[in-house]
Amino acid sequence: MIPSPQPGQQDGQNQSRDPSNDEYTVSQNPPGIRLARSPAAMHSCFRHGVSIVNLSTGTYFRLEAMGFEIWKILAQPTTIEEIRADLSANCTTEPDNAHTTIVAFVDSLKQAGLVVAI
Amino acid sequence: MTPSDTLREAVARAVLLMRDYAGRGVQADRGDTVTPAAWRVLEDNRLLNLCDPADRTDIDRHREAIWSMNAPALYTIAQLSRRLAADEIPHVFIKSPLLTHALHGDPFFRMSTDVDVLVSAADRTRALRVLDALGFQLSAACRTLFWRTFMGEQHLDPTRPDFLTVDLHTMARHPAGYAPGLTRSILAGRMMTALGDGHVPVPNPSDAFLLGAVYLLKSLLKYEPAGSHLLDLAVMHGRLDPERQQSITALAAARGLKRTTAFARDAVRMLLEPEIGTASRDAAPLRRALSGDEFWIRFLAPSECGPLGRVRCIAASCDRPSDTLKAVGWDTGRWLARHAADAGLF
Repeated sequence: MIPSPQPGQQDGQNQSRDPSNDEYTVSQNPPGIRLARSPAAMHSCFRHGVSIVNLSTGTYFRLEAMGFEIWKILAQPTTIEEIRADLSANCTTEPDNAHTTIVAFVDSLKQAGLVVAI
Repeated sequence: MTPSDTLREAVARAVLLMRDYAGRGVQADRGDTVTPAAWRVLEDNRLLNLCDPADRTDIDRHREAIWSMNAPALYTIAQLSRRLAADEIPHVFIKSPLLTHALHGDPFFRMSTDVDVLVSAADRTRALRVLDALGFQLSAACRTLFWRTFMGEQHLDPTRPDFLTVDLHTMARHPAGYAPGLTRSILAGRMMTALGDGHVPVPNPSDAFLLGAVYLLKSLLKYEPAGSHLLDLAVMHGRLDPERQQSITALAAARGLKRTTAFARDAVRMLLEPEIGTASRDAAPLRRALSGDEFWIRFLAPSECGPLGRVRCIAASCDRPSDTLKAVGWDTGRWLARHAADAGLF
C-alpha cells in the first residue's frame, strides 16, 4: 500500500495552490503523459526516506517505503506506466490494484505541487 | 594552554577528510571509525557531512537536523526575495544554503540557523518595511545604535512558524578594519541563481571568495572553528582559472583585503597542496603568526589556543602597517561599544 504524502507542517496563510495543478488530475491524463518533479520542490534523501519542501507554499512532506521509490523514479520525466514497470521489476508480486494506487499517489503529489505534468 | 594529543589527532583526521573531499589528499581510511574527539571537531566545524554515512549511522540524524533548519531557510529566502524584488530593493543573500548548493551541490550540506540578506544602508528602512509586512519583528537586542551602525546588521525574528530568523545586513566588512566599497560592489555585481521555480540574487564568484576570506579571518578573530569556511574557499579556489585568480587579487587590493585574501589563499594551498608550501609574500606575517601545528589547531579547534594569536591576526591582516593601530583601536572600540550597549547606555 502506498501512503499519501504526509505534510510535515502547514501554515494557514500558505495553502493557496498553484493554479496549474488544479487544471486536471493524473487519473484524467491520457496514457503516456510524462510527469516530473516540480522545480518548486526541494528535497533531501535519507537512509529510510526523503523530505521535501514546496518552496511556493512552505509545506513539508515526508515519503518513505514505496513513496520514496516513486520519488526516486520521478528524478527523470516518466509516465505512470513506466513507474509501474519500474516498481514491478523490483517486486516479487504485484497487487491487483497497483495501477490505481500509483495513480492516486502521484495525483496526491501533483495536488501538493511536488509533481508537474510536462 | 597545550592541545592534547587526542585533539591533535582529531584535527589531523579532519584535515585528512577535507583533503580527501577536495580530491587532493591521500584517501582517508573510510573503514576506520570516527573517534569521539574527531566527531566533535568535525561537528564544531560543520564538516560532519564529510564522513561516510557507512561509518556512522547517526549521520542521518545529523542530516535530518540540517533539513529541519535549511528547508525553512530556503522558503524564507524564496518568499523574501520575491517581496524585495517586487519593491525594487537591490539585495543579495550571503552565507545561505544557496552557497552550499552552489559549492557542494547540496543546500542541506551544512546547517543554516538564519538567513543573511544584504541591502544598502539607504534601503534599510524600506527592507524593514517588507520584513514587517511578512511578519518579522526586530529583535529587541538589535535595536541599538551599536548593532545598526557598528555591526551593520540587525536580527529579525519571524512570527510565522514557517520562516527562519533573518539577519538584515547593511555592511559587509573586514572584521579588523575597513574594506571600502565591499558592500556596494557585492550588490552591484550580484548574480541570479535558481531556487525552486524562481531566481534569487547571490554574490558573484569573485565576491564570494572575498567574503569567504573575510569569514575565515572573522572566525579566527572570534575563536570560532573555521573548517567550513576553509572548505568553501578550497572548493571555490579549485574552480578559479588563473585569469580569475589574478582579477581577485586586484579586486582584493582595491577593497583593502589584499593580505586577508592572500592569507585565505595560502591557507587553501596549505590544505590542498601541503607538500608545496606557500609562497605568498603578502600573507607571510599572518602565516608566521599561525605557524607550525598551531596553524590547523587555531583553524579547527581555536578554543585550545591562547589569546596572543588574536592580536597577531589583527596586526597581520591589515593591508597597511598604519592600519594596524587603527584596527586594534577599532577592535577595542567595538568591545567598549558592546559593553556600553549591554549596559543600556545607547
